[in-house]
Amino acid sequence: MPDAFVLERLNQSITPGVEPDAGLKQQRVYVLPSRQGIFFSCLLLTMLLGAINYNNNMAFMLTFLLASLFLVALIHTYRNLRGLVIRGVMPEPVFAGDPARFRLILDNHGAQQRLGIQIQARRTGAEGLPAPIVTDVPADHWTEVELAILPTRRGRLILPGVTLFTSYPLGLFRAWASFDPGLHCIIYPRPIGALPLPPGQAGGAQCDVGVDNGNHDFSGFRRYYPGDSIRNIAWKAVAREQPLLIKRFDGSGDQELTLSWDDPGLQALSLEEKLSQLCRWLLDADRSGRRYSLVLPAEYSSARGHGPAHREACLKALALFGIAHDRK
Amino acid sequence: MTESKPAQQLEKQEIYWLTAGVGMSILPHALHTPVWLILCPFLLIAWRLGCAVRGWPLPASGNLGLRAICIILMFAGVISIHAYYQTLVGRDAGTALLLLLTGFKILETHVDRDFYISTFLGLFIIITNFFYSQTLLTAAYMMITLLIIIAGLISFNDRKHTLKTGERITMAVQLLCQALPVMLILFLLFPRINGPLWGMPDDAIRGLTGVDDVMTPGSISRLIQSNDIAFRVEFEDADAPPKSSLYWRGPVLTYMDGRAWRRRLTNLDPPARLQESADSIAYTITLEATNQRWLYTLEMPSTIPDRAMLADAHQVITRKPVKNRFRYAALSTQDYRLASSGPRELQRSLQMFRGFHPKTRALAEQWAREASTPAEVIARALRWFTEERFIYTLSPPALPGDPVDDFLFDTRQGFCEHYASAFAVIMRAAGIPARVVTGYQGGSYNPIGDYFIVYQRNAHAWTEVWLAEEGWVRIDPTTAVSPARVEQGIENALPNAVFDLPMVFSGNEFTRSLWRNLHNTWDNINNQWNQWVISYGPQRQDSLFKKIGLKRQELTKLILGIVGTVALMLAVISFGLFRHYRGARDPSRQLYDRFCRKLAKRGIRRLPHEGPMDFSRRAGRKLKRYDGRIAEITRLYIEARYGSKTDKLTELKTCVKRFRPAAS
Repeated sequence: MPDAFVLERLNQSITPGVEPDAGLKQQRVYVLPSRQGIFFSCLLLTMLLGAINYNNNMAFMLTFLLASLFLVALIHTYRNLRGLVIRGVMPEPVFAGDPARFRLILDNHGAQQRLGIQIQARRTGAEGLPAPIVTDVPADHWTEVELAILPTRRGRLILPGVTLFTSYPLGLFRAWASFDPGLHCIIYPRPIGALPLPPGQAGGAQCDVGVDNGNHDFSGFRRYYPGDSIRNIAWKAVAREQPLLIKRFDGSGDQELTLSWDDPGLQALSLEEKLSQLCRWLLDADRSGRRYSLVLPAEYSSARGHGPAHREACLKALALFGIAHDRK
Repeated sequence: MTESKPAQQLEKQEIYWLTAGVGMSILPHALHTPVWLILCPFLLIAWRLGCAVRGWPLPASGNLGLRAICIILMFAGVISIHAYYQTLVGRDAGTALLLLLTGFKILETHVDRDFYISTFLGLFIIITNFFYSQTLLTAAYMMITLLIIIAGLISFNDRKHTLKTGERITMAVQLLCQALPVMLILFLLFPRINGPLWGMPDDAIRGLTGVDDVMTPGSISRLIQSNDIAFRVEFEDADAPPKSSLYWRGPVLTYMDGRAWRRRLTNLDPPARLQESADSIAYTITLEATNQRWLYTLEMPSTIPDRAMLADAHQVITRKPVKNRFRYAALSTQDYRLASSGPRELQRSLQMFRGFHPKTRALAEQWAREASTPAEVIARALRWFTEERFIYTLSPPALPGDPVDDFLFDTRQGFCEHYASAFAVIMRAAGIPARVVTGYQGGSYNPIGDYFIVYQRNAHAWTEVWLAEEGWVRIDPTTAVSPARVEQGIENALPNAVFDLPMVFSGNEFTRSLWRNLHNTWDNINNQWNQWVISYGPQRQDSLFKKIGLKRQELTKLILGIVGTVALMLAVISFGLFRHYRGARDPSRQLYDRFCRKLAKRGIRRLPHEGPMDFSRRAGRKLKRYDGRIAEITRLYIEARYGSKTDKLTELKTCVKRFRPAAS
């Protein structure tokens, strides 16, 4: 599992002498009248004309009070966003079809609580824009928000940047700040495919772990993970309204698997189907506790291994196969 | 940036705030709007509230039947308003229309856009209230209404509804207080102009009471019921003239059609000459709006206000009707000789319609024959009023026939206009030029503000007769019947009429004087409000500009001045707000931040994930020379911030202050 690490976006562009906690720098917060604000100023103009025509001092006073309130609202709306520090947390990889969850930490160093802060991911290509998330940040506290984006395909899902905006307190102004947290999420291929695991190699009998073919001893249950074969789900447990469980069977020993792109069984499949099938095999192999290696053309070939780190490395290779080079 | 916001649905409490604020802004209109009209918006608001609380059906929720009913109701309302006012524009009908449409808008409010429109309509209704009343009380009430409306906006934008009700109000108060200084600047400096932009609709000044330029029997006694203020007077000298000589000259009526006295409408004659004595009385009058052209002055005005002129019978008039409260200064003299403006004036002052008042004429002609001088006729007429048991009353019997004859020989009960009219007719019949002067007499002294209040109930009518040696002489026939009217004021002359004295205060002298004091204090506050806030206009602004070295003509300079001052004010407010943002942190954290900034200047920056201990170790490695001091400060900071040793704070402060890492 890759380390979840904290990013401080501003550290990248910081100039000496500026406090690292400077947060959203002042010039980055923009304020403009909202649609209501523009409507409000038209209203003010009408009021002013009325006040002049009737020469009514109370009407003048109200008009000027509202105009002044308009300006004060600008300061407050700006302040509501200024100095807010955002940190992004690198998300854990997900399988295609599951939402990628980008966690952002909004840190408020001020003594003023910030209300009605809205966060929205910027538009990413064809995907629809998720509704903004509304949150408050209490004084001297931080809040965590999670932006869930549904990936459409495997690969690297880059969070295109987020916009924070607020119209608190009066809704007459809208302050916003765009922010690129530099986060991305690795999207593994969707683990689907009906082909059985390729035969094992080296000492040990062949065994289709994951398929209850009647030759193996039942050894217990474990939690369901995405990608598990539905044939091994303990349906009786599901009927008892227990969580999804997987039946485990003891294989007949230490077999080693090579999951290869060039596997004859995969020849008929398209590229994405191949990756999905490999992913399926990989998960099955990992679950059975056997050592396995992944062989991809030209790009990647892992040593034999097992365990979470090995699995993640192999999955990542599948996710990024044929896409931009991993910068790391 | 792209703006794509899904419509935000309203929650219950937002509806509460909205309906409370808009309802409060509508309520004062009940004072001058027909009941059915004021009920409309309130019923619609109640419908909306019922929907929020009880889930009543709303016309907007796809319910076509209800929607149709609503549209029919709305048209019916608009037609009713048109039927009632005969128009849909102008102050009254326009306000009525606004109230109705606001009601319907609130009814259909269910997403954010409607919420803002309804709120803004509420703000607009507040301003329409000011076209009816600008008193201090109205202003205070509207301020509270504004507060509620703003609190409503705050609760709408506090999307998570974190704030409690009290906090919302506090926030609204804070915003309004911060808005006050800029408002004041704009109010004082925004260039004011004289006169309306496109003409004030007539109904804006309808319903004003006051002395008219037509006097019929009953026209002045109608005013006596009114507690409205006609004007307020401040005398420059400490001792004001006695009440009995406070005759406030208004329209002079010379034309009698047998029943009513009227003013001459054409003004061709030059004003009459006034011989005055040296000692003049200086005073300032704040006249309430009258929508008439004449200004009231103490008899006899010797120096008239700026922008006013003298008409023939020594009446002071302005060029335009007084549509707003108007403040003017004048000089008067009580020892004067008013000449005639010419023989034609005297001729007109003898005018009578043939065939009217036969009995009166006969009597007057008899007196004229028996007397040797006009003064004797005058004395005899006044004596007659005293001796023949004339009664001074507010409710005289109606005079359907010849008003002068019936009054003098039949009913003998009348009010000042009856006496003035009858006396002038007697004088004319006897060959003495005479005319009726209307205006006010007396006034109530307000010791708290040191000024006189002249109420509408002080309205009075008296006469002027022409004596060849003395000029026009004031004769007040009412004094012959009821000397108390002039000497002690209308309140004492008519004991049965209770003037603005609530029942609870009428018990004894103490409560009555308590009431008088309260009343005077309240009127003084209102007077100050009127003087300083309501009557601030182009003239006052000019004198303010003069004081601060600005000129109305230098528009660029003026605009720069306004913008500069407003910017300065906003800068001060922002400074206050952002200083708060910086300063309220934990004091030890502030000191530690200062220490971190000092290190950052030397290129050692604390990373966000780095705790103080880790940072201390890393900084110590980099700045070997200061290793010990860095560790010391870090230890003190941890103890001061996380430990219970608050006394470490001062120590930390000195350490951080002394910490001056040199560049390595």
